[in-house]
Amino acid sequence: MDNATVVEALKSKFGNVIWNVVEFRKQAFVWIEPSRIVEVCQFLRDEPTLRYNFLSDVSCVDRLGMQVEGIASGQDPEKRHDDLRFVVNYQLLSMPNKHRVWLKVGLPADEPHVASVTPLWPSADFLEREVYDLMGINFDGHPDLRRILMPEDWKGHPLRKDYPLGFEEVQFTHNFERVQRKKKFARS
Amino acid sequence: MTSQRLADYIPTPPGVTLEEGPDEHLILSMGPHHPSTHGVLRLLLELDGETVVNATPDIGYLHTGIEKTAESLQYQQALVVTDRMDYLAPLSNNLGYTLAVEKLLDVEVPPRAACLRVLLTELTRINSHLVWIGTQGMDLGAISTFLYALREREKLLDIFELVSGARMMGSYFWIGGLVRDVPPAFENEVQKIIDAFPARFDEYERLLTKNPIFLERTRGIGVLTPEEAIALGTNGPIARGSGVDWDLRRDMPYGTYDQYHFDVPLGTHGDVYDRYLVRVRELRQSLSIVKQALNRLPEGPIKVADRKIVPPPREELATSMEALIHHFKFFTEGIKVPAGEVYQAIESPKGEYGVYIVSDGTARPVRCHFRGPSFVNLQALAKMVQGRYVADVISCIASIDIVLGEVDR
Amino acid sequence: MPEEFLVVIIKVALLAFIIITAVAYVQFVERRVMAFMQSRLGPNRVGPFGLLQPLADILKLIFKEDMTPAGADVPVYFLAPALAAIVAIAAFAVIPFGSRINVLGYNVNLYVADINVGLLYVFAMSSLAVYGVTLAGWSSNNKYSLLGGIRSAAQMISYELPLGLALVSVLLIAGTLSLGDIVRAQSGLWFIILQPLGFIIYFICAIAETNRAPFDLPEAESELIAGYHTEYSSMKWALFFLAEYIAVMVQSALAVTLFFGGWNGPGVEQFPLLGVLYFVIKLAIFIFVFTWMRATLPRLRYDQLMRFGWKVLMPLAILNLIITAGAVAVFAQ
Repeated sequence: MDNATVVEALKSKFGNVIWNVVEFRKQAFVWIEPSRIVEVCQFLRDEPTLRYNFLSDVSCVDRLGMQVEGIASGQDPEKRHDDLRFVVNYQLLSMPNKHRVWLKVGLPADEPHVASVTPLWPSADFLEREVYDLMGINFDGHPDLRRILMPEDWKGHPLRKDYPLGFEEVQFTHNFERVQRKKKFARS
Repeated sequence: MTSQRLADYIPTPPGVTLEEGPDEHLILSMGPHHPSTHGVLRLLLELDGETVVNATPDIGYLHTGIEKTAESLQYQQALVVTDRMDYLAPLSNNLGYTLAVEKLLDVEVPPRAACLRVLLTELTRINSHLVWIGTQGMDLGAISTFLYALREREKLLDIFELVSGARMMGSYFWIGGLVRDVPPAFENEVQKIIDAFPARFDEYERLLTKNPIFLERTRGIGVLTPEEAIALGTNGPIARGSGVDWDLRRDMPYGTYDQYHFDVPLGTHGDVYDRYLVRVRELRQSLSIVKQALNRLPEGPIKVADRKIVPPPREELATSMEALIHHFKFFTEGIKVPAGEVYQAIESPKGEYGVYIVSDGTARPVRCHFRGPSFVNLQALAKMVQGRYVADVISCIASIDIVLGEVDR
Repeated sequence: MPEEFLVVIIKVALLAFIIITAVAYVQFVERRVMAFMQSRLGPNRVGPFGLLQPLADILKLIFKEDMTPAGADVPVYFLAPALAAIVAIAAFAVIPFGSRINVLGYNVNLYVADINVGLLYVFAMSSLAVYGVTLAGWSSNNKYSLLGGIRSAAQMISYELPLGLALVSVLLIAGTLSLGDIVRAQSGLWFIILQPLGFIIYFICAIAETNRAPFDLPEAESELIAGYHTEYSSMKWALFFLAEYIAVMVQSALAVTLFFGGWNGPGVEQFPLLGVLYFVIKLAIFIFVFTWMRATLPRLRYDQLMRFGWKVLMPLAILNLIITAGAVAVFAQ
């Protein structure tokens, strides 16, 4: 089984639901129309020749301010999806055929949402919750979408590019007072 | 006893309801501080007497933002934070990360480095499984097993200290090879381990494998059918214990693993005992891979020859101007990685450990995502313990071999 | 009369002091022995060979903060450890350490009291120990403690039955409930030869009664933090601790008395004090076996424990009793 076979099968079944296919370092990244993701996943899982029975990972990339254009979309002539800020990746593994394929879904910046694949693979439960928690993507149809890594009452989605990377300022002698005043529970 | 609602323990956003049973159920928070949850894992158990009706993991107590931190560090700096995820098998995490970056850079490490990487990764696997067998025994009451396993682990940590200077988070694997070559005493030490350990593994087996109490505590507990194992995303010894014949080292080999002969042990029933047997056999298989790697260890360089990726040796800095410039640019600007994205999966002791890196051509990754196997494996816990007793929850957690650093990252 | 009264008072005070000191050192020895079994050293810093470690422990426990959890049932909370400790020490009143020695002209029996229902008395005391554990679990206002207390109550009550039946078998052979007489009856042949199955049943039940591994689910550190004594600190915890090890000593002492001849041994008629030595040696061996089992065996799950007690030990104990009764009836001409 190689990339050409699976791409061929996808394109023949779904036609222009597939936006683009990028091959990089022998990996196949397939861009899908966001509203049809569950159908495509179901086809990939259940088709006897393909049998992508294992969902390895669901992750998300925030492309805000990324310098190289279309980097995660490869060389896309139609550039239909360069203004989509979030890219959710689904990584499927076929254990019988020993092959991996990546499905990518591009989502806009405001109110990004996509259907959840938990009906197909229950392992998507925690994975999608993590994407929701850290990136703010809503997964429609997820049975229990709430924060998983951050505390439940946290505001904001930390892994987004416009969320600052916090740090604790080092207290030297020259800025001791200034840092001490900023500490929430300082006694002095 | 007054009734407590599950919702009192987990605030839920509007529109989401948590399923909970009638009011006589007791909700026990097997809280973050617990001797047997292998870290800061919080389990909310809904109990009907002693039977578990529902088990909801509540994680995030060890979340340190490794993925976000890696976005602000250069590639070779981000290598150091990868050690801290699965802190019981740090070199394994390093291997995944360096293989991913090397895939982006499209370089192959020299044979000596590849062989040493395999050797040390398998030693790390033995390391992780020793902690597992210790904690599995200790959680079930056989406290001496833990101390014997740690006694063996001390010898392994001595080897890691010998090569990298640090017992645990050595960050010994570098992008493009290894940090430095192994000292001359290394081969002797590894040989001593190869000679001494099989008898020690026999000792653990004598204590546990046919022990009737251990069998009663682990047979038939936490059963996962192969389909459930795959659907719940488990991988590694958990899925192999259920009979799923999948091992990334053999089926999708990486980093010259295809040159080594080893068996992949499988279980049949998918219970805790089968996972125990799978891991114990994996211990022996790892030792045989270490023996093969030690026998075929070739001479040669341990870093890729490309000065743009690896810094030059320090001796050259005094005489060569280019070496000095390369050194300076490496440690200030970092390495230039081609734009693109890669995913590299390796078989860590817990399952499939995946590193997903998105690069835009600069020295810092745009996105660095780590698929921690324990994070995904934890979902199987709720399925495993439904309908079983509280004591079995402990047994199941130990058999998943969960490491909270990987779960929370 | 006043002299005998004085002798009894001295014996009681001496015994109480010895038992409490001994239990501290039993615990120390257990730590050292377990450590050696686990290829480490154990406490060896405080004093020569660590022998002052129990003193350091007691001092530390005295200085620890003594807290009462909010919502705890305070009278019961205070009563429970005291009950456990009192009952355990009280059982030592009838254990015979030796026969009789001559001190300053007085004939002193080497036991506090040899009542003629001694066996029943000891059995009653160990049954009362259930109260201490259960009340502790209940009054702590903590779910872990409650689970531990309930488990412990069920376990101890269930395993008392085969224990009692094993003891009844010994009673049938000896023909008397008095512990002193039982020891004297073994001056020829130790009862272990006549009652091997009885001894095994008794020993297993003794481990379950004292909540020791492999039956230590009520205080399983890995599951319920510390079970019924989770919420106890300082001296109240020390009392539980004391009670557990004294119970171990009581059960070991009973096993020695009933099955291994008590203070019998070569040369004990001429030198009655040798009886004490033999008794202590046999006791030490039993305590070593308790420690050995703790270091080696995993613990049984709660339902497996109950199943074992009711479905395996009970029938065996009844069988043993029937066989013993039959044999006694046949051979008692």
